Amino acid sequence: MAAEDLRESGDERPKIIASGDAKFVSPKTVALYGVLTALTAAITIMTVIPFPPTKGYFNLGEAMVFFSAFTFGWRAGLICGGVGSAAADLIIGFGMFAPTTLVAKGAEGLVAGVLGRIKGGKPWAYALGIACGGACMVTTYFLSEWLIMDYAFAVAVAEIPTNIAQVTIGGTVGTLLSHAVKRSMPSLAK
Amino acid sequence: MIPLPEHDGNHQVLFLRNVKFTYESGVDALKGVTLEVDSGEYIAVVGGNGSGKTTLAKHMNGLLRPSVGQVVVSGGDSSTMTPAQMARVVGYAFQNPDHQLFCGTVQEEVSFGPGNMGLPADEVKRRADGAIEVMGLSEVRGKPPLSLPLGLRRRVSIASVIAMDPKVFVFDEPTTGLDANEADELMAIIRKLNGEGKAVVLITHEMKLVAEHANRVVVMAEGRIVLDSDTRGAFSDIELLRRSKLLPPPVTQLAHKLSQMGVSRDILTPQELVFELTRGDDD
Amino acid sequence: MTGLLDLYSEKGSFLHRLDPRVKLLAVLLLSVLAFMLSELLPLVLLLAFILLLLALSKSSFGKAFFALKFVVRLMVLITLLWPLFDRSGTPVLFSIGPLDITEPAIWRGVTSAVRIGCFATVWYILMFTTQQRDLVRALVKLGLRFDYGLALSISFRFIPTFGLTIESIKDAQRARALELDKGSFIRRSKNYVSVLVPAVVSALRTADTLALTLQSRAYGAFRDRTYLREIRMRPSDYVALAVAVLALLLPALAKYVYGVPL
Repeated sequence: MAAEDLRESGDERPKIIASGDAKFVSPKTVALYGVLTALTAAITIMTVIPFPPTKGYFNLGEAMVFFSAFTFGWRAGLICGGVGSAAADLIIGFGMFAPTTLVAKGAEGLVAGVLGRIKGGKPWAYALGIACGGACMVTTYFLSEWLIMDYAFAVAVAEIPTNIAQVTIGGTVGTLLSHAVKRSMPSLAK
Repeated sequence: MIPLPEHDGNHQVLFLRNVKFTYESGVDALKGVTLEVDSGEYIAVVGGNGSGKTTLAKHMNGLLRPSVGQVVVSGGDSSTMTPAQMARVVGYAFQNPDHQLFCGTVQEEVSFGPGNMGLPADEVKRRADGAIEVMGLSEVRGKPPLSLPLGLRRRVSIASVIAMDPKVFVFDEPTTGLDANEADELMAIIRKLNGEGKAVVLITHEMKLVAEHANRVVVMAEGRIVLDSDTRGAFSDIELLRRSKLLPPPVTQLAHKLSQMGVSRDILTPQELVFELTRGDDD
Repeated sequence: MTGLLDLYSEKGSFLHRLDPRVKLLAVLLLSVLAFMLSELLPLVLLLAFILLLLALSKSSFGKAFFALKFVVRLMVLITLLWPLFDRSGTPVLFSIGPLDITEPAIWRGVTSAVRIGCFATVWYILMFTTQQRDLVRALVKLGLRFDYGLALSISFRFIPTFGLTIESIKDAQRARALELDKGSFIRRSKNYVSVLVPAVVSALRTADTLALTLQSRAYGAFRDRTYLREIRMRPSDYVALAVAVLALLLPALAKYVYGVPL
């Protein structure tokens, strides 16, 4: 029963339902996106390991971005990754990063979702998705901090290794997670 | 009615001395609790919501550390022990099995705890097989635990605690969401563990379970132990139970109502009441 | 940790009463202003104005302190690091090995730090004075599709719930002798899988139930829904909006049309 429900929401393309002249995303997709976004934010907030110098935190939120993208496709990666991570920034008081995060993590989820699911998600596709998605994220933060926020170049550069580490860990955990959850909920593995 | 464990040389396995605990939010959840648990005991910790019973249980395996006071595990002070070390002595089965199951198969899931304890592979396998056997999970050992129905998921979570072979078992509301048959089977297994000399701490607000299984009752209210006695004694003080937001099982309440007719107030099971009433007829 | 999950506190300041759309726009306008200004003095004035707003928001001392601690740390860091990597300009004040520390670079560092201070603090004020659900409603009013707005409010609603779930799962695994932050990089990654899998699976189960709830409550029957408390622009909201727009417009005019060095 529950498994059937999830299979539908697992479709890459959100179901659109029509009512009169209005068109909506199906309730299953709304619920799925809402919940994945919340979980991304919660994990970003709850798995914080303090890490100076700039943003001051290192977390496993990345794993949820890759998980959403690999399991539910690029739309989920874009929306849940971008919005969930930006919401976490707002909630714990890094609001000024929220716009950058929205773009950086959204792009990461989108790219990982497109590349990672080539040929039904082969290991090389996952690796490609993590590498390219991660590159988008790292570059966006760097450019935003350097050019828009006008951080010292050095501070913006100093963040790059942290972010690369975060992508590596997040990508690994996200892949393991996608694997493990599909195994526990066989309906998700198509 | 309730058989006391027959093991010789019951000894203290867990001792909480004047434990106080305040949450970050400023709530004083425990206001000085002293409790001794001996091997082979079957203790029910009861109390209303917010009485501090779960906070107390989390002190037993080091998930929470006392703000004041001391927790002694197997004769040693626990303040320098990690939860992982304490887990060897005190096993804790959480209320919601879905908050711990994650492996691909039941076999892996049950092996997780002993594996974390750093035991050799053959010993891990031996313990996991034993726990799977005890919990009647042999047929599903190759299935993903999270895909099983709730009754089986709870059994897997308990099997994963049994496999760690602790001296004390803490069960937090183990029958929530189970139907009557499943609950009875589970309680029988817990009774069997107790019969093997394990101490059992049952956290619950289901007084029927307490009456039928425990041989000692600890009543908590507002962060304190307000009563610590054998089960029969606990149920004879119905006013105290009410003040602690607890309701004795219907049969005990009936016995209290009938006490004017000379029925004893410490009735715990329907059989006892029938016996009391028929005995009364004979007089 | 869960105490930090909502920066908002219920107080009766005029900033609390302001239309959330106005607040959102004001935050963006003030951020653009901070970005536009390049001289130290006007930036210091802007920061002073923003700190005044923080004071007027009647935020509790604890929350304001929490915010300022982060802001000040960041500002100090930028002030200190900037001159090390910007060696342009004269005079050279002193040299550390191959590094020349120049006076203009120090001033540029301070300027950048003050600008970051402005950016960071306005967002804190927004989150201190605006309920999360009002923020979502402001976005819907500003044109976000209703269904996406609903997904967004669902997610704000569930963040604290999932926070508690994750805490409880961590406890459950620690009770199984798991030591989360121990071992090699691979080991730690695997450790966290044991926390994240139950969290994700229970969240997906929640999503199933939620979808049924949405259906049974006639989600999708109309393009939008009605609200118990409508947000409406009041005269004071228009005043605040005008002030925010002018705060950006006037300096922009002065700088780019009349060439005033700001």
